[in-house]
Order: sequence, then structure tokens, then C-alpha cells
Amino acid sequence: MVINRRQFTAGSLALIGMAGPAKWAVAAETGARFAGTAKSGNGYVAAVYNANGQILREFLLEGRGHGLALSPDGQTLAVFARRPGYYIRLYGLNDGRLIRDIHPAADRHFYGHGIFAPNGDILYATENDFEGERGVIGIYDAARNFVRIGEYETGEIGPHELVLMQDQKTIAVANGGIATHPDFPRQKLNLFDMTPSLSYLDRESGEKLQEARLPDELHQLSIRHLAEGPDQTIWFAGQFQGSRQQITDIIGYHRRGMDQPQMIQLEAGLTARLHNYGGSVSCNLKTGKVAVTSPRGGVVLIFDGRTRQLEQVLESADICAVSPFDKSFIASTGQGEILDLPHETSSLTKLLWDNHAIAL
Amino acid sequence: MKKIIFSLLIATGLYLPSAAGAADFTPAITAYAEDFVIPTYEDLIAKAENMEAAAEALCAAPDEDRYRAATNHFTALVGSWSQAELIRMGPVRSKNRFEKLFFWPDARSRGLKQVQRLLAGKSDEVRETMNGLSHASVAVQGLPALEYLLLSGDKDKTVAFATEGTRCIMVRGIATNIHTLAREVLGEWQGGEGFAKVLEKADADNPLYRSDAEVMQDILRMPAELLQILEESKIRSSLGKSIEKSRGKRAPFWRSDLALQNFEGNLNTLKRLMDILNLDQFIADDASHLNNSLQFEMRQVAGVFDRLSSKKLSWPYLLKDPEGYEQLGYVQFPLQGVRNIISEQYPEALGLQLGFNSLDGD
Repeated sequence: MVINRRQFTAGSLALIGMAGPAKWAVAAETGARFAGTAKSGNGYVAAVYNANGQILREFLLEGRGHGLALSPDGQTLAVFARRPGYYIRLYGLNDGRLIRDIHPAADRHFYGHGIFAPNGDILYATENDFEGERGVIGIYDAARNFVRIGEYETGEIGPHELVLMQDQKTIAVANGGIATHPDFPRQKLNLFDMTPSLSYLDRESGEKLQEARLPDELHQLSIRHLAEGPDQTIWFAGQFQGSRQQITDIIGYHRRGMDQPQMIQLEAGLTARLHNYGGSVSCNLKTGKVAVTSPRGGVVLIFDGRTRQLEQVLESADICAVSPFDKSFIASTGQGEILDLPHETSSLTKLLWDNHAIAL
Repeated sequence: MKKIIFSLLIATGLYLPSAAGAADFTPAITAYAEDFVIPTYEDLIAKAENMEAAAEALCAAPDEDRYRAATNHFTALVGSWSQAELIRMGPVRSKNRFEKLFFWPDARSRGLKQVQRLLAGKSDEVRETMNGLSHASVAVQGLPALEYLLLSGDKDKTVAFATEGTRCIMVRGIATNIHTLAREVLGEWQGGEGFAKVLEKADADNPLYRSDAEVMQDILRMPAELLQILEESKIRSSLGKSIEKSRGKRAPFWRSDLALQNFEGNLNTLKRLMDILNLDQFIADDASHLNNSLQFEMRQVAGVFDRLSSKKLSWPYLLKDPEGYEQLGYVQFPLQGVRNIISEQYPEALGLQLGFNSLDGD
């Protein structure tokens, strides 16, 4: 392991970061772009930005946003409301046009994440059937103005993040296992007997291909966020719902066929530093690196996805959103920073960045 | 844009406090443990002990006086719990104790059905369940279950307690269980290895809290959480979409008509906690208006609760009363004001880095 404690001072590039964030496409839009949800003053937005921390576009939201998805043609940005969510807002990424707000079906609310099908014809969103206490994926037909055409059961309550795997056929879902009801917003109703799982569904039929569960002693580790790493391995980060005094491994991985997920065991001090709470997971498929953030611990951990060895731990207060960039990742914080990890630079923006971001 | 100061922490083992630079909160943390938590749990133990004795007396020879005494002690116990409900950290969060004491909300009446099933069961089996209650469903162990057993059934409760053996077995078992849980919780706060010491010794070697600023963040998170539950889950959920569609059974302790008392208890405890923490001692003069604002908002809430209480209407009728309904709708605004001061304004003034990703995550 290489110790890489370097200290850089702000150089001439600082001037670039001082250019005020534009409402709309003032800055040049070459190079990598990202989209994340954020708090802006007293309101909430989704915003497109670059690695220099320039905000290129802002899209108004009607409440706090959470996850995002981009259609495969790069035209439509879907922004999912934070749970219990009551909107999915669809914007034209390049023209800023509000395409549509999708509202949940009766007895459903959104959980905050969704994905497009490989050809963009379907939008999938994790949802709560709160009267039936079932987790489902709502299916929306893009060709018919995103009308809801059905749903798949995920196998467990509380589905949160889902990803379309590289095979383009399999949806992997993190089922948090926590029962909630909109009459009791954000209260967790079944912490004592929750059973989170990781399930794999056939994208076209909804058939459940496998559902993996944690060992009994980890039944209170709510599996929330995931990403596909190298070798069809799903990496996940959980949020432990048991006693804070019980310091628990929260990062794990699973590949279809394995009976149970395998937990990553970190050095004890570092495990404690994560405060039993993972905020976001991302994989850089070019390099096979996997990043997991813990906003409560103010750290991002970067692993080699193949060897599963921890390579870096970087510290920044309230760091959460992370997405692949260049050889590593770009991350953002609830205090407004954009962190370009490959180039070791950071920029302070006027937006307070929320949990998630995607590379466009 | 600036170059990041990268801290590669693995090899160095250096885990810096995330809220370095904030004030020394030791006096508030010590006062929180010694003057707030410990007396609150001592009171809960005392009230639970009284309840246990009253349940024994009632079941030994059911009569009206003993039934009345038992319900009076239940009222006192709920009053005490409404204070302890604010403590949402530490030992009460271990071993599902919080849910065991207070299984609420019971969104789909799952807990109620379990209690009813036990009540209708065979005495031997119920006794076995009560003897091993710590391993039984959390839904049949605490205050809502006890409330149901005290108040459901035959109109003449002395008949219910005299004729239904399972009711007495359960009331005694649950009352004892509440007493035991309360003692366990207090026990784990006290002593050399107790949770109070964990809070007071926040440093790099403490696996839970690296700084007293982190402890303060956690202490302030609790009233913010309870205020959200009070406003959204207890009050707004009961109001429903209209006065005609109000849903009194959404509130805790509706059956014993102690819902409003529970709200008042929550508010009074919050006031007591904030007085004990005395946060303004850590804030420079220019921000000292925060406590005034907090007191103002809390007075607004208390005023509404007083007005509602003076109506002498039972909880479901209060929700059907136009003025009661309107006042319960209104009270959410000062409650939001209190929550905003505690969850945003105070942390900012105190230099606590409560990022909104880490505060209330997803």
C-alpha cells in the first residue's frame, strides 16, 4: 500500500472555480459531465456540472430529489424524489424542457431510484406497496408518455437502488427490508424483524432469478445502495439499523450463485469511522475501482473491485454522491464541494449536494 | 478550484474529528446524562414499579377500586414514558428495547392482532409466552399492549379481570417486563462502563464518538426526530384529509385517551432538555436570540395544547370539533419552527457540521 499524503495549495486554476455557477449553459460543455441532486437556497434542484465544479444547468424540483437516470440516447434526465417520493420528474437534458412529472399509483410511493431499459423504451422505478407491505418495481412505457404498464415484485420490502447489469438482462435490486407507511413519514416500522435482501430479476419477465440474504446476525443491515463491479459482482453498502454501539461491517459484495453476500472486513478503527452507514456506491468499469461513501464518517473508500482490497480512504465532511470519472471518481458533499479525485482538485459550489450523482 | 488536501488515512490510522473547532460541550453533555437522562429513567422505573404492584393487586382480587388504581398508574406510566420517549440513543436502542417498550405505530394492526390472539389463547401457553417475554414479539411486550389489556373487553372491567385468566397473566407479565426493561436501560447508562461515560469520553479512541461535537449532534438529533414524529405521525396523520375523515386511532394512546397528554409530555420534556443543555452558553452574543425564538415557538405549541386540553373532549371528539381540528392543524407550524431551530439554527450557531446527507440519510 502506497502512502500518498500530499498537500497542494490553491494555484492559478483557482480563478476558474470562481466563475459564478450559471443557470443555463453559460460555460462550455466539453468534457465529462455529471448530474446530481442538490439543495439550492430553500429549494431543491437537479444540476449538471463538470469536473471543474462549474454548474452548467439547473433543473427545478418540487421537493428534495434523490437518484437520477439518463436515457440511453442521452436526451432525457429522470430525477427521482426522495422517499417517500411522490414524483419522478423528466427533463430534456439538453433543451431543459419539462417532459413530464410521473406521480405514483394509488397505494404506492417511490423509493428514490430508477433506471432506463437499454433501448430507453421503459423506465423502471423502485416503489413501496405500503398497504400490501411489498417492494415493487414500477414499469413505465416511454413511448406512451411514461404511462405505468405494470410492476415486478422485488421479493422483499423496501427496495431502494437498482441497477441494470452489464448483461443488459438482469436487474439487481437492493431491498432495504424496512417497512414504512406514508402516514408515519420516515418512521421505520419493523426494525426488530427486518430481513433485507439483494435480488436479481429478469428485466423482461420480472422473474426472480435469485434472492440473497445476509446472515441472521446482520438482519438489521439495510442494503440500500449498489453498483456492479468487475466480474458481474454486485457491490453494496448498507445502513445498520441496530444499536449504534454495535459496530458493524456495512460493505459487501455478491455474485449470482453465491449463497450469501460476503462482507468486507476493514480495520476496526475504519469500520467505526463509517458510523454503520454507507451513503452511495459507484464503480468505475474502466479501472475496476469501487467507491463507497459514508457521509456520517465524512469518508470515501476506494477498493480494487477485482482483488477487493482497500486502496484509498479520503476524507471530506458530508461526502456522499460519487460517480465514475477518468481513472477514479468524482464526488460531492453536502457542504457544496465537488471533488475531482483523479486530479486531486476540489471546487466549492453554491449548491449543497445530495446523496447521489451520475456520469452523463 | 483548489487542490485537495488529501488525507490518506489507512496507513496513518489518523481519523480526525469531523467537527473540530466547535466549542467544548462537556458541561452540556454531563448535564444531559446526569440531570436529564438518569432522572427521566429513574422516574420511569418508579412509575413502572407502581404499575407492576397495581397489576398484582388487581389480579389478586379484581374490584373497581383496584381497577381504577391500575388505570391511574397506567396514566402516570404513560406520562413518564412521554418524557423518556425523547431519549432515542444508547441502551434503549439495544436489543429492540425501544420497540419493546413502545410498539408504535402499529400501521397494520399487526401488534394488536398478536395481543388479541394471545388473550384468546390457552392460559398455559400464554404463561409460557409471558415467562419468556424477552424472546417474544416486540408487539406484545409494552405500553400499547398493556393499554389494550386494561381497556378492552367487558364493560365491567372487574368481570373481565376476574373471568379471563389470560388477561391477568398478560397484564402482570407486561407490567413486570416494562419495569425490567426500564431498569436494564438505566443500568447500562450508569457505572464505569456505562453509556454516560461513553458520551463523556468522546475522543479518537472512542468507537462511537470522536469528539464532543459529535455527541452534541446526536443529542440534538433526538428532539428533531421526536418533533418530526409528533408533528407528522401523531398529529398530521390523525387529522387525515378533512375533519370528516380524521383518524384518531392513528395517534398513540387513543384508547386510554392519553394522546394529548403524550404530546404535552413530549413538549415538556423537550423544554426540560433544552433548559438543561443551555446551548446559549456556547454561542456568542450575536446569536443569543435563538433561545428566545425557541421559547417563543414552544410557548405557541404549549398554548395550543392548553386550549385543546381545556375543551375536555376525548381525543376522537377533539378531532371532530371544528376548533380542535383547526388548532391541531395550526400547531404544526410552531412545531416546525421548533424543529427548524433545533435541527438547523442551533447546529449552525454551535459550529456543528450537520451536513444534510449525514443528518437524515437515505
